Amino acid sequence: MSINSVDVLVVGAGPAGLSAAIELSKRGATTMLIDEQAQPGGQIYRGVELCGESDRKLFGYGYVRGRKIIEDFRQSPIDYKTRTVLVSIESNHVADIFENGVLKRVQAGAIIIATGAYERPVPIKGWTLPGVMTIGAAQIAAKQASVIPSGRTVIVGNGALLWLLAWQYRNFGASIDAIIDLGGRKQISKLLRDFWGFAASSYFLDGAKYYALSRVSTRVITARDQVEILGDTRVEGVVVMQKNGKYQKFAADTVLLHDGILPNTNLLGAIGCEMLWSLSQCSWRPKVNIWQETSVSGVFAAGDNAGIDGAIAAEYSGRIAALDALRQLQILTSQERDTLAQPWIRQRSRARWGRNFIDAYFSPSNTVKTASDATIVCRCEAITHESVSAHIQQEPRRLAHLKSMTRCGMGPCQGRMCSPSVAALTAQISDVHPYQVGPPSHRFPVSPLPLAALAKFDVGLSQDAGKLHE
Amino acid sequence: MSNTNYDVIVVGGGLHGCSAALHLAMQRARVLVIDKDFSGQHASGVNAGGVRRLGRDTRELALADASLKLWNSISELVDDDCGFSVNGHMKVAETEFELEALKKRVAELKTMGYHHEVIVDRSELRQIVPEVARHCVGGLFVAGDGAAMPYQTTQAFRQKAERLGVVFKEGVQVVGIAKNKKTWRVTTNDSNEASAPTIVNCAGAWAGEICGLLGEFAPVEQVAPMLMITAAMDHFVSPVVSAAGRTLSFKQFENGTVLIGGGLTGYVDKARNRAELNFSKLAINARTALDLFPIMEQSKIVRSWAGIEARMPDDIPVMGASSTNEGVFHSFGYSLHGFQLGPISGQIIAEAVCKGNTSVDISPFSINRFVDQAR
Amino acid sequence: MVMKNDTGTTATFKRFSPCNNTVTIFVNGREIVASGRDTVATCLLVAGELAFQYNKASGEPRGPYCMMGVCFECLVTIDGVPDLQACLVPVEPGMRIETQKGVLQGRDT
Repeated sequence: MSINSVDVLVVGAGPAGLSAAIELSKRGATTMLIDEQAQPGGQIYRGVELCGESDRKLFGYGYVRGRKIIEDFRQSPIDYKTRTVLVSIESNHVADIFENGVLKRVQAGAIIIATGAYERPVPIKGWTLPGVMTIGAAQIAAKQASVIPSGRTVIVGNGALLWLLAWQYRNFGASIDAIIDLGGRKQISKLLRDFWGFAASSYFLDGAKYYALSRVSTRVITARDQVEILGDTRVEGVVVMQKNGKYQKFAADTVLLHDGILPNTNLLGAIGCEMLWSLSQCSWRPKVNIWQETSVSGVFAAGDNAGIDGAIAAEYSGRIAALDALRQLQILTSQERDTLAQPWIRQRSRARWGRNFIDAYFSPSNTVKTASDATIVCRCEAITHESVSAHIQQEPRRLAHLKSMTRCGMGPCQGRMCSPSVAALTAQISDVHPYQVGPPSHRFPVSPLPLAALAKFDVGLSQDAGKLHE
Repeated sequence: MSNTNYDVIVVGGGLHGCSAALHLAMQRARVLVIDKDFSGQHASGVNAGGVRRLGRDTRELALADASLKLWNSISELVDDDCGFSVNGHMKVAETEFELEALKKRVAELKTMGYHHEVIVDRSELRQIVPEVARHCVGGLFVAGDGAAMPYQTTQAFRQKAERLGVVFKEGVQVVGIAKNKKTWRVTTNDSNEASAPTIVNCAGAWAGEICGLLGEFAPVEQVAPMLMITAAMDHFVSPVVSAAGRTLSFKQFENGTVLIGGGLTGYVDKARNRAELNFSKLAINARTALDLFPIMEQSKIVRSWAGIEARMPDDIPVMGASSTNEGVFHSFGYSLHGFQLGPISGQIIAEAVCKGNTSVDISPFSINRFVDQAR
Repeated sequence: MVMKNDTGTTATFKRFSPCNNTVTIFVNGREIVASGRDTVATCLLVAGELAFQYNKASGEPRGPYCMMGVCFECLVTIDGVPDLQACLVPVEPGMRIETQKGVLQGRDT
């Protein structure tokens, strides 16, 4: 089998990956972009190419913007592989990719990883019932195929995306029976410090509009304590338990959850990139330099997987990573890179305005801390809050230890759905800071790989290399 | 700067270090265990968990028999079942030629007085391993072998040792060892010191470096055997299965996941203290698993990993007293098959330290065998 | 209010905008007209399927949670291949999709 060689391999077709690939190909680097999805755009611009113009506007300006990037991308000479996942990266930027049922090897000069973000898990009792999904999932269904709930819908959560979806659902004519706000009481004095950056940012006017409109047009209940989802084999309702002992019950066919978003760092972790704890965002992110390069030389993290900064910052961080990759490939000199990068570095900072306020205003509720014993923490292995807590109490230690002892993180999702909760719970029970619990240990393959495909993988090693004797 | 006195300092908190510490504490020794990472982070915590005598080097069989006795009552030793279960080990022969070689092995063992390995024919093989590929002609079976959970086991030994007063210091590295009269002074990279008349080197893949600090030579190679695990499947195989002619270790857990390994190695990244995978070699493992178990056709690999281990040039461990330093004992270099020996290795070391003689002959494992190479 | 869709099953999802092009697929043997923009997950939701699979450890029913490929809850069998993530697969004409009702027959631990 021949090994495919490219200058740069870009992973992820969201704003960061697309922008990076456009920039790379514009300057003559051979570029391969691989993405899990069938269409470009990532989650934020999901389905924007196929979505009709009038529908597109219903999602707001932040969605429409994606069309222009994808048009540029489509006109660029990029080897774009859809429905393709990165299986592993070995040293010297050797990447094994899984495309169309076949495992292939790619030798890259540099790798830009732009795997974006996903939503922080919201472990409350009943969150595994069919009919419960995330706010982001609801948005994706709407963007992908104009799909919205038709029954009684209750939103439970906290975070900016929640209010955006509520506004979008108004535009689609989808009804929301109630929003149960887990955001809790805001500390005005703490927020004030960051407010002016927010007021000057692009988020301010739109954000305020979504928030205000949704709050007046929908029933909003501020939850002061536990929330549980009711149902046996599917969602039947939501119950809010107040501190004063009163219960409030809502019948529901669909429940949408949210508690902010997290960098999707599984791939970066498996490569061995050094991780840092972000105090303001309560999540792990890779340590990157000004060029978005990680602690592993020639491996870049661009966009939200390097810290949640939003789609516009992601575009600039993708382009900036591309420039340094071009410098490493000796397509650009350091001076050329610096000159080109200067305005983008400014724009990247500008796009981050307001982020601190949003992070502080919507600081995560971490529902796991108040969840009841029977609440499932690890969805893949169906491990309960009670069982995880027992292990932590027995010996409060790092996340890697808890993974081995509880199996949290050993299922197909590899901890994406449980490690933030296990870390928060450990921090709470052992009274330590979450960063002391350590980052989750990620392994290749980052997505499950058919054994049969691996068996057919052949990069020229002798067929008999596994034979001891005959 | 603190200086604390112990009877024994164990370097390395893997299974062998924890076992040595536990058995020493059972003899009322005051023990300190120092681990540069954390207990069970490397080979001890991430190995395949085979509790196997099948196919073992004949020089290790007496030790393995004694260890199995401890495994069979492991709860009495460490108050934890370690996930140990006895479902047998089967080595599959794919050709008549391979089966002949296995028969020779059985005959050789008989002359030494060992009868645990039994030849099974084609139909017996299928009774014990119903899903094995049709071309397989027979195998070698040990009914009394089994498997345990490696991380759980290491933790159980560690926790029992701690209950008996053993002190664990994790995340600190031994950077200096010096002798002052009859006492060893061990310096760690957090600027602390501890002293004891006896040191036990259980540093696994890093044992060669500890030997280096003591001015003794041991040809320890650092290797990274790889493992991969599938998503859960319907239960189809009970014993651990290996192959006579190929590298394979194949085991289905109670929860339905299947572990595939056998010793193909990835890379050791010393600078970053981690093991890296080699997917082109994992592919060989995948082919072998599919060749022997067609039922795996639609299975999916969920995770793969490698742990850093010590391998000696002759594939047997180093156990016993140092050749150069009084008061130093070694227990390392288990060469990818040390898990089964974990319970006994600590007992033997405790005997060597406390009594000066051991209940099982460990002369084949003496570090003296490398003395010529050191020159 | 829960609405009945054209096949008579109870669906809790609908479309806010009509489909421009459609494809015909089969869900548990039932013929379904899907949107050409659908993933297997979106079309199953509109077709009234909420439980896509049963969890292998607990046997509980599970359905799509993240819709973006990270939760592994929307596993279905497509054209005979089990455990595929429905949210990542676009519908194709004639595709045969089965939700995974079988509980693993492994031994409990």
